[in-house]
This record gives sequence, structure tokens and C-alpha cells, in this order.
Amino acid sequence: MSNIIEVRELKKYFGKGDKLVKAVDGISLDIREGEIFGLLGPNGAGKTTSLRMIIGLLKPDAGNITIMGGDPLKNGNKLKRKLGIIPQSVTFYEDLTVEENLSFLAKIYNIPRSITNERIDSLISRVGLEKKRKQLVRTLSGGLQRRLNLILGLIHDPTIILCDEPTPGLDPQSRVAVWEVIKELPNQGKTVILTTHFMEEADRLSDRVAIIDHGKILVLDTPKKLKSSIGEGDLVEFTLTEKTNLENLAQKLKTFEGIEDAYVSSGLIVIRSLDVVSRLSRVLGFIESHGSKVENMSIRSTSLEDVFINLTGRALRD
Amino acid sequence: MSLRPAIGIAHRMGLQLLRSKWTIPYLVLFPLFFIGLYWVGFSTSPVGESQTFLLGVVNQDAGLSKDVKSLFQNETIINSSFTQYHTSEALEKGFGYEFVNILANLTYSNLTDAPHIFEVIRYENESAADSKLFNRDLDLLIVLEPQFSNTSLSILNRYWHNTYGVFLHEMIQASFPEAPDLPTDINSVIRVIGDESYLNFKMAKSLISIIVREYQDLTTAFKGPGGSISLQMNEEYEVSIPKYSLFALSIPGLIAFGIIVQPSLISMLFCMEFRPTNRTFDRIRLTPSSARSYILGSILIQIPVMIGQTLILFLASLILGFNPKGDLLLGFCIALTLFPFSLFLVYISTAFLSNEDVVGNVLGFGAPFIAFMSGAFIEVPKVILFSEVFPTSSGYPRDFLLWDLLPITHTVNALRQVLLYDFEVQLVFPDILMSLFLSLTLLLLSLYCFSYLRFKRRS
Repeated sequence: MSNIIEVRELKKYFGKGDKLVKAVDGISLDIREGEIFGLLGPNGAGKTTSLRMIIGLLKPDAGNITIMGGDPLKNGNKLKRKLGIIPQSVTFYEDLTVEENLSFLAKIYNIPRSITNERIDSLISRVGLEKKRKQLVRTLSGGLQRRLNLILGLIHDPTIILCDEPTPGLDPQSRVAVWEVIKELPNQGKTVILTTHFMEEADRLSDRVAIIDHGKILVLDTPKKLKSSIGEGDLVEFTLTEKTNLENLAQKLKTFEGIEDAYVSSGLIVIRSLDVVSRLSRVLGFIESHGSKVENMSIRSTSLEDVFINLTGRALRD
Repeated sequence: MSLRPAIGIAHRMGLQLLRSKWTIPYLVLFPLFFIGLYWVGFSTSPVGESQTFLLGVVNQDAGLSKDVKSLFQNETIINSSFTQYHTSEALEKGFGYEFVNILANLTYSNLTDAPHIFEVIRYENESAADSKLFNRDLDLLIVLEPQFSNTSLSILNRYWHNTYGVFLHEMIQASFPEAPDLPTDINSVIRVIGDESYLNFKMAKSLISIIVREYQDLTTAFKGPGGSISLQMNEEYEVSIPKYSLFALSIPGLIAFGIIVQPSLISMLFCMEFRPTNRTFDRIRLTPSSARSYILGSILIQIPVMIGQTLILFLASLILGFNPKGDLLLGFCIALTLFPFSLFLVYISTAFLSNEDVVGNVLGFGAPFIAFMSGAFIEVPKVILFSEVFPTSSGYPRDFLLWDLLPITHTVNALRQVLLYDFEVQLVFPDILMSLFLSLTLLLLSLYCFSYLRFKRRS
């Protein structure tokens, strides 16, 4: 696959002196044609700023961006027809109906009338808004509004789609509907860049993921390779009655035979081990011997969040 | 440039306006509230019908100079406009004497009982009248300067000049080269004194200004066809004071004010695009549609809004009893020349402000302030920037005031002159031209700011 977007040493700083914030600090990446590329990181990591520079809404302080061989700052209008944006904030007119919003954007993109109606029908049915098409957007639920926000970015049949945090605050049903539409896009020859701080979203949707923090890319690979990079085994998370001295307890658990890793994350003690079930009784006994009890316990496989914790020592939501 | 995106923007804004809860209050209720308020307060305050104003006069006119007087000896002098007065008397006793008598005998000619407009009280000097003025025993005081008579014979009148090709003062200058160069505007030898905050003063002053203008236009000496020099005033002239209530006198200003309230609504609509929670404007910036399409589309939708609102304001005025003397259609067209200024207010406010509440407040308070400064509601004090530079209907330049920098000042002037005093379009042309020049200049500036700050700036 050839690169459809190339980013080199991209920088964007805000403020001056003591208040200088390096929002994006020398990011370089290649995005391949037809893939879903995930930018995963906590809030304020520089994902949206990077995206805004890629789409030309923000001027970089340094670095180069090439989209389909062209410079977005110089060939803006030509590239704008190729780019579809699904922004974090909603971008529709609440006092217009679903259909009027789509029709308005079709006019702005100068899409011929002959294909406008057909495309509106197709997009509306893809996100299940058929019965709501004549309804004012302000009367729709948050989830349905998000679905509309998604298809507004697709009305002009773009080649590259940039999704900036498409699902926060959505009910599970709407989230899955949005994910299904995004997942289907590469099959139609589209390339997708997805920024998110939901590790599950990045894991499920992305072909490759770049983990970003403090404006820098920490790692970039497929989700599978990233997860395996931190070691084998499953994870057990313990919620304890006694919240103090958790770090000390984790350090001691780390020395246990067969325990690959142990750490504290968001108030939980997490251990990783190859044969985790056989080691549980010893771990529980050790915890109780330290005057604490286990309130809750869950077993799961390694996630991208663990990769982030492993790289930064912090959880994504911290 | 394809027109489709612009039409799309106009259509979308039109739908939003139709559905906005602010449309009716801003376009209809708010302006009508002001017109209604004036109607309730001032529709029964007639001006010119039966009120007799107390007019103090200090006549310091020194009469015609000896040399000038000799020029008119034994000539036929016709002056029947103010029927019982003849200019022969003016030659002997001075034009100031004649003018004061004219004022004292002026009646509201269109009334059967013909009451006098002024009760004239003569004073020897200003100080004697001061206390009367202070106690409002006088509505207004006029002082005729010593050069009043000589100036009366030196008035420039374009009509007679075009007909006979000579001004009398040029003849005087030719006959008496040593004679001083006299002023040619009668206003320069009449001083009007009074309390600007006193309603009767304002009404009396507006009447005096009409009479002085008529006097200026009609008191014209010229060299007649028979070779004699005659001093002639138009025989058909009669003093006719339009019967307007204070409400009617305020209508042109209120219409102009109503029109500049409308940008608040459009600006609020624009600002909805900049909401941090709903970045529709970012969506538009990410389309190939240019700033030109956006601006063109937004102007397209403002045209019917502007016409509709102006129509509502005129209709409301007529329904409430406003009976203009002048051409209503011409007045309507003049009101529409406020369109570029209205657009300027929209684009300059939304170039810098992105919060709809702030824009609503700024323009909501700004519009009455601008209207006030333009003299739409009451006359504002004179702050002269340039003396006698601005062309007027009479052909004599007037002072360019600070408030003349506002396009709306000129529109209000033109609207008043056309609707209330039946001026023809060519007479208000300087004001219309100045209004359009100023507002188009401001509009271009605002479009540049809007386009740069909203579309081009990225950092």
C-alpha cells in the first residue's frame, strides 16, 4: 500500500515563556491508502491539534504535511474535496432537519442535484435515520445527532476521512452503529484517520495505532504487536478495601514467582501472569495478610491501555 | 465561481431565520415598539397648526449702505410674496425691519382661522432678552446682525444666476469696487439663541430655518429684462408650514433606527456558527466553498430581510397616522440605501465577536446609540469638522459635522427632507451619495476583516 498522507516533524506550540505548551512536538508518520489509522492518547496529548493541522484548519509552526502528493496549505480547495471530516464537536444546524443539513452541505460542495438525493438516501439508511430525516436536528437524541455528524462528513464521497473522537458520550447502540460505518469505509476504498482516547475503539477499528502523549508519538504499530510488546499473559485487577500503601503491595507482588508484572493503575492493583488462575489463591492470601480484603476482582487480556501505562506509567484516563 | 454554494448558504440562513424565535422580536416587535412609543407620547403634539411661539427679536440691522442704496433709487421694486410688505420699505428702513415684520405676520396659511406662527417681541439688545429666555417667557431669540440688509442683497441664488447669468453681488462689486465682500448666506447674519433641551425651542427653530431658507431662496435681486434693476420676490410664494406632530417629525429617524436594529439578528445567526459546542463554521471552512461564496450567500438573504423590514416600518408609520408630504416611494428607496451600512454592522461585529449574546448586546445597545448620534431621535449639538464644505439643496455649502461621518446621518437627513418637506431627489442627492460612499467604504473594510479573521487566519 502506498502512503496517502505523510507527516514529517510536525510542530505546534501555544503560549510563550513559562506558559509555552508543546501541543505537537515533532510528529512524523505515514498513513497508508485504505487503512484505518488510529491516534490514541489521553486528552491534551495533541491528537486533535495534529488533525487540525493535517486538514488545514491550523497552520503548523514547523514540519511538512503531504496529502495525496499535495501540500494542504497550497492546494487547499483541491484537497478539501478529497477530505471528509467527522469532528469531535457536532457541526450541524439544530434548526434544520436531517435532510436539510445534508442538502445544505451538498450545495456547498457543489454536488450535482442529480446525485444529491440518491446520496442523501444512502447515507441516511447507513446510520438508520430514515424515520428522522424530516425531523429538526434539535429534537434528536445525542446518539442520533452523532450519527448525523458522521454522515455529514461523507456527503461529498471523500477519499480520506478524519474522525476526531467520534463516539464519546454515546449510548452503546449508537457507538456500535458509528463503529460499523467507520469499519466499512476501507472496503469502499477510503482511508480513515481516527483519533480517540478509548483504547477499545482504537483496538477494534484500527489497522495500525500510534500512541501519542505530550505531543510526541511513543509507539506506532498494529494493535496486536503493540499489545504483545509488553509481554505475555492475562491481567487480574484487584479492588481492595484498604486504599493506602498500594504501591508497596504491588512491588512485593512483583517478586512472586510466575508474576510477570504488578502495578497500581487508577486505584487498582494489576498483576500480569501467564497462568494467572493458578496463582490467585497465593496472591489473595498475601493481600489479606497485609490487613486488606479484595472487594472486587476481574480477569482480562492485555489492552492498548496497558501498553500506554507501560510506556508512560499513567493510565489513559489519568 | 459557482453560485450554488452561495445560494445554499442563503437558503440555509433563510430557513434558520424563519425558524428562529428572535426573528419576530428583532425584525418586527422591537422597531414597532419604538414607533408605538413615539406615537403614544407625541402623536398629539402638533407642530405648526395652532401653536404660536414666543419669538424674541433683536434687530441690529444697520440697513443698506449708502452706495448700495443708491443703486436701487427710482427702480421698480416688486415684492408681493408677503403681501402687505413692499421692498421699497426695506430699502428705506432696512431688510431686517422687513424681515421682522414678515415673521410677526406669518400665519398658518392652510388654516381657516389663520393663527399667527410667532408672537414677536422686539428687544433693544440681547441682555434684555436673556432672562426672558431663561424663564421660558420666550421660546426662541433671533439676533439680526448689522450686515443683514447688505447680505440680503448679496444672496447667491442659483436659479436666477442660471437664468440671468449674474449675481447681484457681482454687480455691486462691479459698481462699487471698494465695497466689502459681503457674505452671501443669510444664515451668517442671523443668530438663533435658545435652550436646546426645550421642546418649543426646537420646534420654533425648525420653523425659523424653513422661513430663512425660503427668504434666502426668494429674496433675490437681479437685472431685469428691461434693463432696470429690480428686486423681486416670487409672487406665488406663500408660507406653508407642514402640519406635523412630533411623532411624525420623528418618523424618518425611527425608520432609520429600525433598519439598523436588524443587523443584531443576522449577527446572532452568524455567531451560532462559531459556537465552541457546534462548530458549523469550521465545517464550512473545510469545504472548497470560499469566503466570497459565504459572504455573497449571506448578503443574498439579507436583501429580502431588509426590504421586508423597511416595508413593515413604513406601513406601521402610515397605519399610526403618519401622513408624509413627500414621495413615499422615494423615501422607501432612500431608506434602503442604509443596506450597506447594515451589512457593515453585521460583518464588523462578527469579524471580532463570536458569542451571540455579546453580539446581541453590542448591537442591541449600539444601534440606538448610533441612531442617537445621527440625530434620528433629537437634534445633536454641532461639532464642526470642516466649515461650509458640504453641498446642500440650496447650493450653499454647509458645515461638515462630526456626526456626518456616520452614513446614517445623511440617510436620516435625506429621508426627512423627502418625506416631510417634499424635496426632489436631486436636492437630497449629496446626502444619498455621501451615505453610500461612507457605508460602502466601511462595508469593504468590514468584509476584509471578516474574510481575514474568519476564513484565512489559521494560527
